[in-house]
Amino acid sequence: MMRLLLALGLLSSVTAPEPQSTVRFVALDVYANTGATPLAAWQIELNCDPSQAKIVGVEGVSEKPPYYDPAALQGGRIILANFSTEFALPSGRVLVARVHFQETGSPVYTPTLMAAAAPGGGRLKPTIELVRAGGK
Amino acid sequence: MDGHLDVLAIDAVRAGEGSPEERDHAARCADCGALLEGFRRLAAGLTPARMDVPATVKRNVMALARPRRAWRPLAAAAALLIGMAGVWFATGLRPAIPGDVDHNGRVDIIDAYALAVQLRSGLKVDPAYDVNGDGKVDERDVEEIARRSVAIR
Repeated sequence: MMRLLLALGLLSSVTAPEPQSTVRFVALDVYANTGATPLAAWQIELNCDPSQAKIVGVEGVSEKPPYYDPAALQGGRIILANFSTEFALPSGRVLVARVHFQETGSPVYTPTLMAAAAPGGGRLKPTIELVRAGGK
Repeated sequence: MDGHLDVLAIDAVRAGEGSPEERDHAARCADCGALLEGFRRLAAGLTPARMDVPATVKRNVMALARPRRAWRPLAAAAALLIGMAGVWFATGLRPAIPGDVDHNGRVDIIDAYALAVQLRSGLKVDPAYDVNGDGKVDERDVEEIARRSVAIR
């Protein structure tokens, strides 16, 4: 009986599921809402606690990927920016970038508008919104 | 006026402020005149004696009493700085920041955009926007300004 219990114990320790990893990879879509005014240039700072999440990548959502400093990767602060001199520019709620994070906790992401301009250089103050990729 | 002058009236006469009637009474009345004379002696006795203060003591006391002027150089420097700042803002003579195309005192993506628009329009661009130092102002300078605007410092 003792041998049977030991065998069962050994078997259960081998087949027991490993504890689930707390690391998650998520993507955040960054939106700028300019209302009716076309968006020609924008610059946003995105912050989070690096002990809760680290920036691991930036994905372009338009023909020209946004500018960012590669030194921001693996940290909790990044500045993203882009501009376009094209004639046809988007307005309203514009998806400007997608940022990938490696989450290890419960991070709070804080976007801050640094600069934005309409065609011709007039300053804009679009509202900035973060949405988990796959959300709406 | 009947009777003698009271002490207030006598002191007023002593100080030369009494009415003509009071002065006349004090001159004629022996009692009031005596009292007036007593008041005069008392007043003379209360007058402080003249005392000559040595010049060195006077100088030292005045030096202590004189307000210190240590703040004057600081105030002058502050006024100069405020004046320079005023000229700076009024005339746009800000120290040149490489890449600060719109002269707002910082480099951001709007500067890159502004230079890109200038280049695209074919307008003559300021050689000062040659931020990468290759001797010409072109798309590479736009890229450099954009890169600087997102730099994590």
